[in-house]
Amino acid sequence: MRALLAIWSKEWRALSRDVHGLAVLFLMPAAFIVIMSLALSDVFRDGSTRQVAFAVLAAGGPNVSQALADDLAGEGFTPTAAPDSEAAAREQVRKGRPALVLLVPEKFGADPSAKLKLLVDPTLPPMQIAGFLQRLQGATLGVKTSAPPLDLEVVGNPRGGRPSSVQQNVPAWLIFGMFLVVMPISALFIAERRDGTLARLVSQRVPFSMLLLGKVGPLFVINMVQAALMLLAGRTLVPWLGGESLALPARWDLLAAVAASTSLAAIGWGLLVAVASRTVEQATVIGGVGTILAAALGGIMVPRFVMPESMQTWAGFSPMAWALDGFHAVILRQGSAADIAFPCLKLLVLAAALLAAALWLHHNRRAG
Amino acid sequence: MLTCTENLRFFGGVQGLRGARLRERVDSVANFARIVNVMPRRAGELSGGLRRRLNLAIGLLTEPRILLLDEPTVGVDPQSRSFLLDSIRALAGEGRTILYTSHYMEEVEAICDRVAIIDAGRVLRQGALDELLRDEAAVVTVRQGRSLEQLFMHLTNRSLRD
Repeated sequence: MRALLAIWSKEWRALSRDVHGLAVLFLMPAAFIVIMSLALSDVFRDGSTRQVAFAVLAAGGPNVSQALADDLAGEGFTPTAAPDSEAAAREQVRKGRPALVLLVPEKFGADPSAKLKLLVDPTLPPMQIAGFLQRLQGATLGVKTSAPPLDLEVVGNPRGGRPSSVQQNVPAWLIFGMFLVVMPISALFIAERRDGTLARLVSQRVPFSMLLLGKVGPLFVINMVQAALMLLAGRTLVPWLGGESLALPARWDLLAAVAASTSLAAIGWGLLVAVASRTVEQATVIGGVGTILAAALGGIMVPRFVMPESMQTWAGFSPMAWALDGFHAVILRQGSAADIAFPCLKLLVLAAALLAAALWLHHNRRAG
Repeated sequence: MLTCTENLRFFGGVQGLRGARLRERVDSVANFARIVNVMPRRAGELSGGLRRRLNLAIGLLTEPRILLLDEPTVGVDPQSRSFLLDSIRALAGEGRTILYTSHYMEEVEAICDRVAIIDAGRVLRQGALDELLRDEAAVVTVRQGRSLEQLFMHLTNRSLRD
């Protein structure tokens, strides 16, 4: 234990003096948070120019459905194929595609008690729902001049609400910043290998596993400080510069659990790159490019909900997407422990696998 | 990244030294290696000679009975090299066993009692230095002289190691 404390102390000193590494870890994600939150704020705002897909299911048959859909199309509303049944319509809206389905009963227009029903994706901005209702009023089959009788039904959506710009960008760039620990870890590790520090420690019977564990502690603390500062930036810096303030969740413990799981996965990744790379240049390429690719894929740089469906499927393979799911479960949906359990479990399993791979690679190379 | 003091305290801590004992050993080895004046400086900023002396100091923290020194004089200035060789002699004089690896045969001749010539992972010759140089077969073959360098070149066929 004393040896581990000595290693922690050494790592802490070495990391705190790596000015460039610390700048990458703290200034870069903060800059991304501010820039991207401001740059994308219109995209996330209610009533944006997003195209909304809708469908019409008329009991009178496909021709009636098609005619009404044609009347409603335009000004950001795009018709899609009519679902087969009300149940199918409900299922489609649940998935968000289309975001609106208008159900027209058979006797609508003839029977005053017959009401239209509009199934609505809950993530659809109210401005766009109002816009659709206005178009509906203008195209009420020419039957009535007053507003048509209508039931509005918001269909439950397991995806939860869509994040605002700051809700997307703060956790996203925090995760990216956490994974950037790959840079200082590998630079320090390679320098220690080059200077003979690692060989000397191994010759003093310090197990390699303890050397790796010795690096985990200080880096974990740095990641937690990153998390606190980036959330603070979302809370204060972004609104100060004219953006929206980040609403913090009530469950800090869940937020800390997601941050901790993300940190361990990021450190595991960093340690594997450090052990695998023979030079700093190699580590920069493997670690830097790998991190950026995982960020691009995982919905960090481009939010997943604006990606095509096939890309959203691929995004699910990125650990950064798992971390983002965890943060969104807490920040966005005020979720419970059950909501973050799966993302956190995936991150922790990945962390253990990466650490085991680093140990295996080290022993394999020594044996070779 | 770490200063000389921090390096010594770190390696001492890893090997279980602490408190007054750690301070005493750090002072002692710093004096022995004559690095007291540079203790507040970062190791990465030191010259090659000073780094080697810091390495030697780290190796002596726990007063080991056996010391493994792997090419300790590579890339150092003549003064530091002379100091290191004198220090190693002094340590050997105190009764420590020192395993010294080097490509500089004159250094080996100057400080070693027993020598093993290793090439490509194989031990080609080993024994007391005097005995190796007296080895009749080697002397006959090595007509240029009786230096360890000549013996080494002869045993390794003078071929380049690429």
